[in-house]
Amino acid sequence: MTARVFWTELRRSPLRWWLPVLVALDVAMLLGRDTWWIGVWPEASAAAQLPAYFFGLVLGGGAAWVAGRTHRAGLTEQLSASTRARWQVELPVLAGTLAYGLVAFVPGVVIAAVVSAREAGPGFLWPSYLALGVCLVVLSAATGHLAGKLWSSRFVPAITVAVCLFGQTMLRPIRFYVLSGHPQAEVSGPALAVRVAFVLLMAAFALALPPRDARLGWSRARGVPLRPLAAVAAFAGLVAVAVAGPLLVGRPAPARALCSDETPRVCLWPENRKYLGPVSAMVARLNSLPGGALTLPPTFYERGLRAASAPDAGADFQFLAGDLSVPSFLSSAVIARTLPDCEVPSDAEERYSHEVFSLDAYLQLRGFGDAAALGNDGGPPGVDMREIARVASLPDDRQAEWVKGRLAAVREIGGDCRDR
Amino acid sequence: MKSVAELRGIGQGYGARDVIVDLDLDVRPGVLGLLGPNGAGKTTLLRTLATVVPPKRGTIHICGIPVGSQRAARRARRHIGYLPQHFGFYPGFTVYDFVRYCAWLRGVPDDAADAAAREAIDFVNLTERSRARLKSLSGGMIRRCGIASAIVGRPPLVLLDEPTVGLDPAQRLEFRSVVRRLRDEDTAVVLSTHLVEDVAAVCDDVAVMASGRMVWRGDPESLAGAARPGAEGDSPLERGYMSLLAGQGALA
Repeated sequence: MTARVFWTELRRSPLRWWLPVLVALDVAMLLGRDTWWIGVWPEASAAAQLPAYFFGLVLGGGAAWVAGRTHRAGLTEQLSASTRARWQVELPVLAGTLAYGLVAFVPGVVIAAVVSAREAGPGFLWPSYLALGVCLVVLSAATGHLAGKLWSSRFVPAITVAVCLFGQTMLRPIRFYVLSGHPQAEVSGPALAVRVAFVLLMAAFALALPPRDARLGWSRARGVPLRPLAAVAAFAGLVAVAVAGPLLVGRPAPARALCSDETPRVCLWPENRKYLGPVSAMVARLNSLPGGALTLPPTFYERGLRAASAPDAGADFQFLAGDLSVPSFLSSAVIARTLPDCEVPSDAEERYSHEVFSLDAYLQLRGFGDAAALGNDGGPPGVDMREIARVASLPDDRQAEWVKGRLAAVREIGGDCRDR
Repeated sequence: MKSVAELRGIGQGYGARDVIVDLDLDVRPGVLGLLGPNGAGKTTLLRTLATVVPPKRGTIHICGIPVGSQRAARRARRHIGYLPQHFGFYPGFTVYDFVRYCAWLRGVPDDAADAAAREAIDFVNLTERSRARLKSLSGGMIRRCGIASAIVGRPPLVLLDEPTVGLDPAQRLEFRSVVRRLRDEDTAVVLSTHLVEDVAAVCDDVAVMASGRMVWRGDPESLAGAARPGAEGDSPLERGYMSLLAGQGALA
């Protein structure tokens, strides 16, 4: 392929009109879904990768349209009389499609990096997630190109591409994307390598498989069932993807966690540095309740920093789509240390649970610090969140009294309570 | 004059149906008109000459290259310009883009392709429209662009399959002038047509095909001389052609 032919393809490809749509989809899917990933490099990397799945559906349809252009333009005969092998003729076309796909992918990556840089601190986007995004782009382009070659209809290829690419959402083991990238996980090297190999195989098929209307002429491949063989190879490739293991695997805990200086301490994964301040503030609010009614652990750990078998490790906090999930974990950790260990009679379980749930809801609200942000709906079963919000807005000494009241009620309802 | 293409004992067909039967043909510089009724095998013969389809039987030599394999066919195609009957083009390409692309398909070296494309466009008098999109051109201009794509890089053998179909009289005259200039430059042109006027206007040599066989070969004057008394036709050449076909029973 000469640069000149590739340049001509870029200038004349119908995809040049699709590019703004692809870019708009990329940016819309990056920023339109959520923004909690901003400021955490692996989360930002996964967020930058995911739009490739969405605009890949459109890119695949475009690739099918572009690949079918030869047939629609009636150039089959001239190409059969060419000195170039068919794959050489297809290469600039597929390369042009890929170029448009990759160009559409770049703005999302750049935006993810720029908006994250200030909060995230040292580090950068993780290449493995970006490689996964590039895989998605190549997969979409190659699948579309192949479909466009194999079906001369205007619509069947696009529908086929949509079904193939959308189908992976139904089958987790063959997915080529991840929904998020929490720091406790990373893209599995073998799983990524197998996926790269698969998309390269698809790209090779897209280039080399003869189109439906091709004349094999002198080719030694005449009589060889190329398309069925390719279908078998593609299926084997998918099986390899499925057995290569999960796309995300656990990371070992960092040698040095990022911890606050205050007591109680807050320790989290270094990549989650932007949450250190907010979580420390949540812990400080819980710790500031007067009267010593609450018992806080000396250190609040983010999940994965210590072995799951460590005492209280089950209550270690996690960031699930941002820090909105953290007060719940902090509350659980505090309750586990504050509540006495009671043998609750079965006929008192409901009242007991109500007191515990009320205390839990209050601790979450106090920890979060903004009752209005959480709203009045939801909350633990049977708990009036308006009442909890009212309590959380009282002066601290009145709140401490309310907490002591709940703890006293727990001791009264539960039989044979012992302090922990 | 040395042959640019030699076909010996060519048999061609699709499935069990024979379309060309035991055909020998030498193509030399000049314009060879292939005349014959629909279904005579003209297009199949041109496709065989263009090495698009391998013959079922017989041998092909293009510019001395024995064409017996994919590799040899690709090598031979560097010497062949081919304008198929149903000429395809990308409507969004400009004339220059398309001819330049065809130069690449032909294997014209990259450093010579730009000049070759400009020369071919100039040859068919489309230089002023070289930046125009193909979809904006008239049928005649598109046909000239097709000829430019066939002659880009100046292959010694040019195959034109029914190139005047759908052209108005003025466009047909333009086309003939282009073919004459190719002839003047010692290019071997094979012109498949069922229009006897085209043959009369530009051909040095005529081959008449019927039912997959070459039933007659000679110059246009000889063809006119083959006319039988009372033969149908509006010109001596047409009457000669119709007489030949009647003799072959190809007019049924």
